[in-house]
Amino acid sequence: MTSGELEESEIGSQMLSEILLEGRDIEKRFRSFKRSFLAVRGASISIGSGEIVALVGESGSGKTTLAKILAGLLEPTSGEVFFMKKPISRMSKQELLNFRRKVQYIPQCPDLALDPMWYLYDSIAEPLRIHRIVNSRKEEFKIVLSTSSRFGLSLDHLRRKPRDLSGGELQRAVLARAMVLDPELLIADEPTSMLDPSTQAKIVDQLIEVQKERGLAVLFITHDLELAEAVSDRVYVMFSGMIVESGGTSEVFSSPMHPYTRSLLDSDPAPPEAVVNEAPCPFYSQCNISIDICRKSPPPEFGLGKRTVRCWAIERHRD
Amino acid sequence: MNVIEIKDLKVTFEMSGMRITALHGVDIELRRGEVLGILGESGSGKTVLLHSIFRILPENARVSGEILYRGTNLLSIDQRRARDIIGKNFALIPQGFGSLNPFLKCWLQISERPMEHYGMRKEEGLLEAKRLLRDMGVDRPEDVARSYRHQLSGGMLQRVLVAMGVSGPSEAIFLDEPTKGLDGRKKRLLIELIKLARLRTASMMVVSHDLNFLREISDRICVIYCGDVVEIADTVSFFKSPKHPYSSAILKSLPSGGLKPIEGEAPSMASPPSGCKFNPRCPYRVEKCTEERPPLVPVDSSTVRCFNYVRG
Amino acid sequence: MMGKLNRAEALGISLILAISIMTVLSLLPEEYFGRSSAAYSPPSPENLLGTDDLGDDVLRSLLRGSRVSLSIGILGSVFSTLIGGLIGVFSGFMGGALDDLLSSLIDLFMILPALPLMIVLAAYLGPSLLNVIIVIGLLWWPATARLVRARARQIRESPFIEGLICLGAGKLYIILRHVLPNVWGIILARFVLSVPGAILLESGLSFIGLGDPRSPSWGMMLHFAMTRGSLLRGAWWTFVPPGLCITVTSLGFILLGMGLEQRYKLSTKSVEGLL
Repeated sequence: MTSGELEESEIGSQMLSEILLEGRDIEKRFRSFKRSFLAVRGASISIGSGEIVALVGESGSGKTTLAKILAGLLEPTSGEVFFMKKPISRMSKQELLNFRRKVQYIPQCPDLALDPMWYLYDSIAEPLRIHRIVNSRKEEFKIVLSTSSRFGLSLDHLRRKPRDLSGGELQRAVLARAMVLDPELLIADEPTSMLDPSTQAKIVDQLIEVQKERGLAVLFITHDLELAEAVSDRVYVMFSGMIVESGGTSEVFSSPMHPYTRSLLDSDPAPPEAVVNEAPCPFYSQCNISIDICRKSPPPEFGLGKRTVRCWAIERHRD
Repeated sequence: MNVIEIKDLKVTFEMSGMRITALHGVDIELRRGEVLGILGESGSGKTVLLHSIFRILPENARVSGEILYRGTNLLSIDQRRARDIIGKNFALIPQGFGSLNPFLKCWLQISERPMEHYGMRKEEGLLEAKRLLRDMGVDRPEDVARSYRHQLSGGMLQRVLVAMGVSGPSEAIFLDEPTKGLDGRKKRLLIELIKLARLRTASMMVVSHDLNFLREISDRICVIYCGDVVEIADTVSFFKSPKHPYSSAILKSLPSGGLKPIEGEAPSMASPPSGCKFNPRCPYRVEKCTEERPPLVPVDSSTVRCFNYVRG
Repeated sequence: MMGKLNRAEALGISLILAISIMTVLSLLPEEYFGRSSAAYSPPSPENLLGTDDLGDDVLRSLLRGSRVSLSIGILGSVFSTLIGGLIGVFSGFMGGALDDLLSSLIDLFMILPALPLMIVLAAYLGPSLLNVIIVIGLLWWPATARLVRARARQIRESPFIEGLICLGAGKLYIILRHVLPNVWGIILARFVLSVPGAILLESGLSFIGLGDPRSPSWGMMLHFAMTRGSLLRGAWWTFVPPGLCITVTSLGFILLGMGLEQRYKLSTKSVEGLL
C-alpha cells in the first residue's frame, strides 16, 4: 500500500490481535422535554486483547458517554457494541453475566463509586461473591488482600469505609475491585486523575504488569496527552462526540493529521471548545482548513494504512 | 526582601494518644515579587504548611517555630489579631468549586475579604467583582457576578475562584491544589488567570503536586517530602538538573519522564523512617542516611537536604 | 455501631425507658396494689394514685394501660412502616411503570383523611385492638413510603449502583444488599416517629368511645373519667396520670425519632457532597 493512497478502512483490519470489544457507528442522543443533545456521533472503536488503547478528549468530548455505552451501562441510540463478536444487546442472561465478568468499568469520579455503608474489604470482595468465584472466606481474603496491596492498599485501608479515605485511596480501591475478577478488559475513565505523580506511575506500572502476565486489555480514557502517549499502543482522539482521528500512538503524536489533534498537541493556549450544535462536522466553526462540503455533510472516516481520520479537507487535499 | 519568613516550623498532631509529626522543622521564605511553588505529594505536609500560615489548624495541633510577617510572628499572637492581619494581607484561592458556597451569589464571595477587612461596602463589592470578572475575560460580568454556583460553567467558576483571590489589596496570594480534577483546557485557562493575578499582588505561593503546572507558573520550587523541605531551587534549574534524589525520581515518574515508579512505599506520617526520610527508597543512600537527618546545604544556586552533597 | 448518642436521642431513650419500666411493673401480681376500696378516694399510702369510680386502684390501671398503649403504638408502627418501607424501596429504585403505579397509590392513600376514616371503620368493624392496629397499618404507610422512595431514587442515581450493575449484580440483590442498608436509617426514624401518633390515635378513639372496653388503655381511662363523672367530682387523679403518660410516651418517641433523623441524615456523604 503506498502512503499516498486513501481508502475507506475496515475497522477490523487494523488489528493484529483478537478483537475483544468493538463499538460500531455508536450514536447517543439524550432527550429531555425541550432539549435533545447529541453526545456521541458515529463513533467506531475497538480494543484487541492485550492492548492498551487510549481514548483522548477534553471534558465535553463524549468520551465518558462512549465508555459507558461500551461497558453496557447505557444503550446507544443507534449502532451496536460487540463483545467477542457477539452484540451485547442480544446476549442471553448467561452471556451477559460472562461479559460483566470479563469487562470491567471504572467510573470517573471515585467519590460515590462505592457503597458508603460498606467496608472497603467487602466492596472489593463483592465481585467474587456475586460471581461465586471462591468457595471459602480464606480464599477470598487471599485474593482481596493481594489485589489490594498490588494497588497500594493495606489491610488498614480495607477496614475503613469510603468516607474515611482520600480521593486517591478511593480511586485505587475502585481499581482493585475491578481487578479482583481478573478481567480481560478494563474500561478506565480517568483512573489516575486524583493521584500524585508517583502513585500514578505505580498504578500504571501495575496495570502494565497485569497486561504482561495475563493479557489484560485496557481502554484508558484521559485528557492527559502525555499520559496517553506514555501508556498506550493505539489512540483515539475524540472531539464533541466524534472520533476525529485514530491510529498507532507514536504516529498520531508525532504527525497528527486532524486539525483538532494538531491544536491539542501544540499546547494551544486557547484550545477549541466542545460545541453543542449539531453541525455535520462539530469542528467546522473553529477550523481553518474547512472547505465547502464540511458545512453540508458529516465527514466519513478515511483510512491511511492503520490510521483513520475524519476530515473532508484532508481527503480532498490528498486528491 | 521577604514577604513571609518561616523558621523552624514544627507541627505535630495528637491523635488517640499518639503524636504524629506533620512538619519536622521547615525553613522557607516567600520573597517579594515571586511565585513560589510548594511541591509535595499526599502526606507530605504541604497542606499543613498552608494551614499553619492561615492559622486554621485543627484543635489537636501543636505548633512551634515562627512565621514572620513584617516582623510579627503570626504564631505567637492571639487568634483574633492573627485573623485580622491574615485577612487583611493574605488571600487564599481555595481548592475546587466545592469550596464555593452554593447559597450565596458569587459577587458576595468574590468580594468577601475586602468587605470584611477593608470596610468595602456592598455596592462597591459588587462593582469590584464585576470589574475583576471583566478583566478576566468574562463577556457579561454582571450576569456572572449575580449568579449562584450551580448556574455557572466550569470555566466561569474558575474565574470566580481566582477573582476571590485577587479582590482587595493583598501582599500574598495562596493557592491550594488549584489543578485538582481539571482537564487540559481548564488548566491552561487557570495558568492565564494566574498570570493576570500575579500583577495584582506582591507574591504568590502555590501548593500542588502537579509538576507541569508548577513549571509554567513558578519562579522557585520548594520540594516537601514527609514533613521536610528537601530541595529549594529556581524552576529552570530544578527541571533541568534536580539535585535531591526524590526530585529526580518524581520527575522520572511523570509520563514525560518515563512513568517510572519510585521504589518502595510512600512513608507514613505516623512512623516515618529514621534519618533521612527518603532513605528507604533512595538509590544513592549510604549508611549515614539511615542514622541522621541531613542538613540543608547550598548546591550551586539551590539548597538541598542530602548527605550526598555534604562534604566529609 | 451506635456511637455517641445525641441529646435528643438520649432524652428520648430515657423517657421510653421510664415507660417501659411501668410496663414491666404492670406484670406484678395483684397483691402489690391496693385492694378495691372506696370509689373516688384520693391518693393515699394504700392507693398511690387513688381509686377510680369503681374503686379500682388507678396506679394499677395505669400500669396495665401502658401495656396496651405501647403494644398498639409499636405494632401499628411496625405494620405501617413495613408496608411503607417496602413500597417506597421498590417504587423508588425500580422506577418506570412500577414507580408510576405505586406513586399513584401513595398519593391516593395520602389523600384519605386518616382520623375520620378510622372513626368510621372503627365504628363499622367494631372496637378491637387488632382492628385498630390493622387500620393504622393500612392508612399510615404513605408518609414513610414517600420518604423512602425519595431516598431510594437518590441511591439509584448514585454512581455506585452503576458500578454494581457493571459487576453483574441483579436488581433484587442490589435492593437487598445495598439499597436497604442505606434506607434503613430513615425507616427506623420513621418507625419511631409513628409510634406516638399511633398511641394518640388509639387514645383518641378510646376517648370518644370507639375503643375496646376490655382493654384498659390510657385513652379508655380518660374516657371513663369523662363519662363516669370523675371530672365533675374533681377527682384529678383519675385523668391527669393517664394524660401525662400519653404525653410523656409520645414525647419520648418523638425525641428519639428526631435524634435518629439527625444521625442518619448527617451520615450520608451525598448530602455533604452537595455542599
